Amino acid sequence: MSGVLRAARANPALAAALLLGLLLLAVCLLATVWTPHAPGRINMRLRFAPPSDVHWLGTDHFGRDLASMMMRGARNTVAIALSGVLAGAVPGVAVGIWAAARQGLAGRAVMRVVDFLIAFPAVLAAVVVAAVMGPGLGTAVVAIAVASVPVFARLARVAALEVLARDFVAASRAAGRGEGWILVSHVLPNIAGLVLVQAASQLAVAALIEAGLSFLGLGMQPPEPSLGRMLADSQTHLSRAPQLALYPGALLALIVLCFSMLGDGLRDALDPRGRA
Amino acid sequence: MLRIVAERLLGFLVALLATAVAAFVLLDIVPGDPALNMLGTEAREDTLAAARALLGLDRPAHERLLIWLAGLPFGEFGVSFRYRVPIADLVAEAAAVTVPLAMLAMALAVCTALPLALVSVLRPRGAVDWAVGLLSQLSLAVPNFWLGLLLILLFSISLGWLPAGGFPGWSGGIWPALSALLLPAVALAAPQAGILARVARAALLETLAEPYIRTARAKGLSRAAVLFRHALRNALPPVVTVAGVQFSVMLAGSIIVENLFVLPGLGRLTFQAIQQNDLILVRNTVLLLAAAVMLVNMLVDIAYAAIDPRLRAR
Repeated sequence: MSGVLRAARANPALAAALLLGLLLLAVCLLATVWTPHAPGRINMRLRFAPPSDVHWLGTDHFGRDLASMMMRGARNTVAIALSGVLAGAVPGVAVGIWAAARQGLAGRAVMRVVDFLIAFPAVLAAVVVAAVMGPGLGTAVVAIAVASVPVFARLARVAALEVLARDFVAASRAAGRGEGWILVSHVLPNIAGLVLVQAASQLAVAALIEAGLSFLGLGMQPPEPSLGRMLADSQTHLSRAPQLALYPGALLALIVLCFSMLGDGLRDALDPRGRA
Repeated sequence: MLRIVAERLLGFLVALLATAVAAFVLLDIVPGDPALNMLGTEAREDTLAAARALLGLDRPAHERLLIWLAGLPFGEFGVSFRYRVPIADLVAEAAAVTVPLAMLAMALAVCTALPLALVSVLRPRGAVDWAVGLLSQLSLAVPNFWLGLLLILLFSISLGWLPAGGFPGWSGGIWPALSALLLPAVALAAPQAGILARVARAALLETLAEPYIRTARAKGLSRAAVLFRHALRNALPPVVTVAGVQFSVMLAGSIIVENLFVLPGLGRLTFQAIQQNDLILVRNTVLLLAAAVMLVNMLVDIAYAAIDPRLRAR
């Protein structure tokens, strides 16, 4: 933790990303317990209300409070992105480490499949998942996990191979430690930092997948707000109420930007040689 | 070179077959009875039986898979249940929108990314370099459907220069069709241009550090001549690889952008088929998009070998 703080002092972009991340996290946590208004409440007499003391950013085409919808929508996007990346990272890292330990035909075959899956566009995979599972929260999480598994598998394999070639692993082997013990006690802790950095970058991709699926109506379903669906709904009222497209989109872009800057900054902090 | 081409072609065919089988299992066997899926649980038994007979669903699954696979090389994809026309016709019509869209987007991405990379390596870490870096970081964070909305807001609603959506078809002349594709192409291209500019910048910087660049400068060539004649050419392989992957991402990304701009392409066809539970059509359009992705990746691999003689020798 102190390492991250030191790195943040040396790298203003990372410091900005950390601050922004904390701010967004606070808003998301707050949205879980409190929003200015109930986010799904419809009030047809208050359609397209301008910003005021009561409705900070105004209301949408159903008279719903825009600020509340955005807060809850951001919370949903971040929560789904986190769950999906976690659900993809765990099996991905396991597969990668396993393939690194097993250099034979099976390990190589698995990595060929991983290489093939990485080249497969995430949007297309997400749409297939949606076609099989039907729209919903689970679909978004699974779609993100499916897109994340090969990314983590490839990273974990490369990193694990490097650790397995070190002297302390040879020493452990000589001391009679089993392959499983070495993988868990030596390899896993030594690649954890890299996995974390990749997870931050992958969160940016995940937020985009979630928003894209909700935009198509295949992600989280109403009345639960989602930024993607708000943007899709805004299209019909674009000339009358452009703010319905501007604010939610800007918030979504901010979330994605925060994750990708966090990933880049942490990567630099972890490996100063990689700094371009 | 011939061996590389043969190897890649074989790999492509194997991957294609594997994808087709996976698509069939996921979109035909896993969801269960396709006729029931499409007609709903309230459909009458004789309606279901008629639908099954029409679509050949009365055969066992492995037979249907074999019939489908055998028809693929001849463009016989089956019949769409909703549209009641051969899927090949639907797909051909849609591809006439999606492929030009992706090509236009790719051209836009390359034509912005390369000049930006060139001006930013003229003075690394200078103000221009910094601005280009910020721009590419921003373009990566902006979701393409939000950018699309912003473009509609500016160019269609405020300025009224370009249509906000819809497609007039190619029969009405090239300009109306191109102007309908321009905004969606920009929305598709922006994030890819950001990535491409980063890759090109890194590749150029690496090449500029090579000894032969110093030699070229020492023999009296100008900075510009070195940059264009030596550095750009040697920095191309990674740029081509990334651009190839991006072309396939754009083909797949059309699912979202075509829906935003109401373009009757492969992406919108796939999306509507999902909404209407026409899983036979989904299976075919997904396979087609995947095949296009894999085909592009194969061509990039081959092009890579053609550009870089070291890869050929191996």
